[in-house]
Amino acid sequence: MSGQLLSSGVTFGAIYAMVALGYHLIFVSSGILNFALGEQLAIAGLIALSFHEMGLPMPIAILAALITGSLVGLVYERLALAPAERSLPGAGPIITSIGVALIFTHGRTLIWGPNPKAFPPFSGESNAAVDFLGGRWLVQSFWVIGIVAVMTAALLLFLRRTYLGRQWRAAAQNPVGAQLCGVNPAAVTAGSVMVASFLVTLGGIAIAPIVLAGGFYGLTFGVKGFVAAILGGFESTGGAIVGGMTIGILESFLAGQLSNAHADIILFAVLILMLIVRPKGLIAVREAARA
Amino acid sequence: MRRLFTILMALALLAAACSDDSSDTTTASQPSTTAAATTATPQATTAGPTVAPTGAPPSGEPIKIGAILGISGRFAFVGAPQQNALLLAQDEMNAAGGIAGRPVEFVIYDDEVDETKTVPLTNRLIGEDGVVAIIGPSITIPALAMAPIVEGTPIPNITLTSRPIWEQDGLEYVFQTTPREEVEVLSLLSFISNDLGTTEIGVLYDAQPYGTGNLAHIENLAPGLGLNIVATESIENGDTNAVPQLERLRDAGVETLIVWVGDPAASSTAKGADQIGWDVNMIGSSAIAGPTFPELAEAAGEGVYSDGAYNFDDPPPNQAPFLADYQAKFDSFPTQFAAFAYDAAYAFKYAIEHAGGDTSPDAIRQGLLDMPAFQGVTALYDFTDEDHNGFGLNPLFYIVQVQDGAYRVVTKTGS
Repeated sequence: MSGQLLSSGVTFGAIYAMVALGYHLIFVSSGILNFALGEQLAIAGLIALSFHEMGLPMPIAILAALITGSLVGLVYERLALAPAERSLPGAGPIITSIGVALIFTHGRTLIWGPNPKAFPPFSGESNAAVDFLGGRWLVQSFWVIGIVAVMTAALLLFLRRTYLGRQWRAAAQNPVGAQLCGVNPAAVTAGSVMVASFLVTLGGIAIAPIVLAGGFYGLTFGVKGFVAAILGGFESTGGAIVGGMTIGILESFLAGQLSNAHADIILFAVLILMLIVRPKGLIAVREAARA
Repeated sequence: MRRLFTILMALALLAAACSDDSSDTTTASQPSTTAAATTATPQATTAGPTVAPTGAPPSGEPIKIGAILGISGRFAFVGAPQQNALLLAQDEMNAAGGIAGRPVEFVIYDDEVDETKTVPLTNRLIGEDGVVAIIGPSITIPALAMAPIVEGTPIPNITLTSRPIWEQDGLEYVFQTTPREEVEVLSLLSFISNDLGTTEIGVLYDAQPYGTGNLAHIENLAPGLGLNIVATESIENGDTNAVPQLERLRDAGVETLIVWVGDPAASSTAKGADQIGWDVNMIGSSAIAGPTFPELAEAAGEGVYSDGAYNFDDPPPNQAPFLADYQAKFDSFPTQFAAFAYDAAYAFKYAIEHAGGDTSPDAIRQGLLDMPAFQGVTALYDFTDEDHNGFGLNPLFYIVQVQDGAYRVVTKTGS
């Protein structure tokens, strides 16, 4: 495998991992699957650009976009996902989140128009690249990888080491028991959707200098992030990262040998196989033993 | 177990959602035009054969012309400017006496490039809205779905697709104001052969019919011009990473790369080539001949060629007013997709006026065929029984190149 293919594989894999973390976080704390995450990722760069156009310096604009993205998550969780979970547990929020995703897909063309927009890289010139591991790596790729690494570490610390994080995990594993101990499951769900929204918004902004802001890639990242979460094990934080990287690198390798269309077919065949032979994911057993 | 079930169910739902690119849209379509505009701003429009603006305001029952365009969804970049162009044409026509003295109203629907929506919307235009002619659809597959309805009703139809669907079954009522696919292919290949002087070409094409259809034309026409296709690769319009394909094309010895796909894939391709340090002649289809590509590709877009009917440097009289008025009204650049719709609107106007204001289907159809050639924004149109496209295979096309972030004309092909 050439270093070039590795560079795109790792970069995209990191973003798949970020989306997988979002699925994972909401799932472990509430048992809900939220398919709006991919579309939230697709509009993240557009939100940041809008703040920037209002006159905010880019770092502040990005911060404002992260807050906005998180609040958007909170709002649709309260207005749509939570009522759906009450009326049709399990399936209700899934269908509702697909509806929310469609609203994002169409709503954003009303606000920002149909065309994606260029987004400046976090450092250096646009499209700046360096030689690394036998390929030309975009400087922005290192930002993407770094951000995902930091977010993963932060999330692991939060879920395992903080009181609130333990509450979230408890609420997912035993809602009734957690409730008896004073945990408010509604607050946990809302909080998890908000944090997941923060993660995908950050991922969307980090990848925007490479793939443009506001492309029609919400479904792609949403689905591949989901495959990554399945592959790694839905209930494992580390699994989301392993799954994302595996999908990213595998996809890039296959696309280098065959064509993009064939790569997708093989990727989804792997997913189906995984669901049959290891429905709990690659590293679920280890996690289960620890839990 | 319940969780596994939930996941499987979610997958089934997703599979359903992904099975069709355009099915990710559920919004109900709404008519989006208005009644005749009243602002009376005289416009210098393209000169028509029989047009004689009297300055008198139009009166009587409005003539309704329907349009079905892909205004939202994945192909919004095609349909949305076309809607704007029709709204511009409507204002201009009504300010200049309407069509044969009557006001004109464009009834525009959005089919989201979903043929399951095109069909009921076509019936709605014909049955409920009482339109006398239909413009659109923007994309081939919905146009194929519409064709049997317009041909059977019958009702005159000008499609905005690059594929000449009127030709396939000898359709009588279906016309086309967009350049046929071969026109553009021939223009690009002639430029590569004559001006770039390279023989080894590669093609990176849209995996959808827009790319596959043109790849077939490239494969047909290249050998005759002494060009050798050494490698082809496909890409999806929404793809943002072309590096794997580019590496294979480079390794195959490609000297000139034809990129037959719109943005963002095209700009990602330019950036990908730049990233891997591949200095190749890159030439795109007219889908990227607007300000978007240089903007998205940034420095990587420098030197990339494209083609199209616009003379960016020095717009001739048939293009300058359209370009200026459109930008003044909508604050955006009219892609050539917009010009196709604009030309279609005027083709119907001139046809109805040639028929003396008769709006029956046969009168309009005969008007299109019999009226003198008219100079549209895109080309000089002369519809005949044999050529419902009106401008043959070798019209005037400009080869343009990105220089300092904007397209400049480098040469022209055709006549």
